[in-house]
Amino acid sequence: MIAFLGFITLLLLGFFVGRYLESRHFSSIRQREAELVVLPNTSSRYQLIPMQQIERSELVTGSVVISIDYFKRIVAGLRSLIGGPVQSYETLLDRARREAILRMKESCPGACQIINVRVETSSIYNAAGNGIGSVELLAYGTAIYGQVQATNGL
Amino acid sequence: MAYKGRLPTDNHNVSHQQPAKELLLLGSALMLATVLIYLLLGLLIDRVVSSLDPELEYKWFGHFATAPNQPGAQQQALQQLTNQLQQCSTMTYPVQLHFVEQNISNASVLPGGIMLVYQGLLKQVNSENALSFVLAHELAHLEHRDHLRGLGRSLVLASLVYGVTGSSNASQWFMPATELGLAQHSQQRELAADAKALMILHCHYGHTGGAEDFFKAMQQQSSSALPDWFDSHPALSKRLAQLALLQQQQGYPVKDATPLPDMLQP
Repeated sequence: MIAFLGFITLLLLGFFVGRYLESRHFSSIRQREAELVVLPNTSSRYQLIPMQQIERSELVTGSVVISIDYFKRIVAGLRSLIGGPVQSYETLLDRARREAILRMKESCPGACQIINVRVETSSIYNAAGNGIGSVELLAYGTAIYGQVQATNGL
Repeated sequence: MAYKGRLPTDNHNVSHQQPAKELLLLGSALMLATVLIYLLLGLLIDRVVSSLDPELEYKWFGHFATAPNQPGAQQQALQQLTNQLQQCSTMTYPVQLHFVEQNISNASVLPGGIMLVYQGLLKQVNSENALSFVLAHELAHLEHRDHLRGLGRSLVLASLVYGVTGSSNASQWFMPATELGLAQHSQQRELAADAKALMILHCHYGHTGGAEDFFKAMQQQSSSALPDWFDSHPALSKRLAQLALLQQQQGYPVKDATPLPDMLQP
């Protein structure tokens, strides 16, 4: 009985606290994305914005590890029995992806653009225990510093 | 054309459905399926158990526990009493009694006709009839094959929970639900065993005096105010009421009980 009450408590805790923390994280992500929209990034190896003069370029990285809450893990576990899109993991990965890119951008203040951006993921998982169920997202690219070529209309 | 950064207006990478709804939907469907499978397998076990030859059961399980080489006086006396009571039941294979020197007021049966009687039980009974009722109750379990049913159902339940959740620990979380399922079945079997025990007592002594003594003694000790839904055994008051009702319906006479033999005095 105690174990069952513990299960219910964890489920409710995961649902309410997890939802609150997630919405807070998302609003922080949206705000920072709006602020950093001036620093463009691309997966292409060509410059997105033509540069008049390149001062230097460097490798920049941004990585984040995010864990899912208990509630989501249970829903995902139930979903895995019958298959279909695991919706409870979607927000986890979306958060992690956007946070990693934001951290990468924040790591290079003054850069004009980041090219060659790659995003990689790995799961941090404890197979022997009950599975921690966290995901690591790593974003990296080449930040370019210098002077942007003046273009008409910009 | 010059590049101009802007943010997407929509996020198509996440679903906007309520996760709680998903949990409720998936959870209830799964629960329903599990309950159905459990009920079906439970019926199947009942059929298999009923058709399992008692002799075969004795052959399989009867030698798991061997009697001590030099049985104590108490063990011998209990075995003798059980053998006498057994003549009033339809049990065909020998019952092997084991006297366990532990201070537990209980007795139980294992597959293969093995009956465990704990020392603590002797302190709770004040007459031979009261002791015989407990022994007859265990004999009734053996006759009804309840030990096999209980074992089978627990196994089915454990494998179902393991299969669904993939974790043997998970059975703890679902304990209330699983116990509820087992308990309702088990309580019915207990009442049936009580009724049979009363019959055996009447057959052996010619009256059913002292039958309720053990329950009354236990009732004085237990102070549990919790409802008995999750218990494997019905509430003592319910069992006492059934005994009284049966005594009245069947016209079993109630006479003074025989005192406990010296050997079995605690």
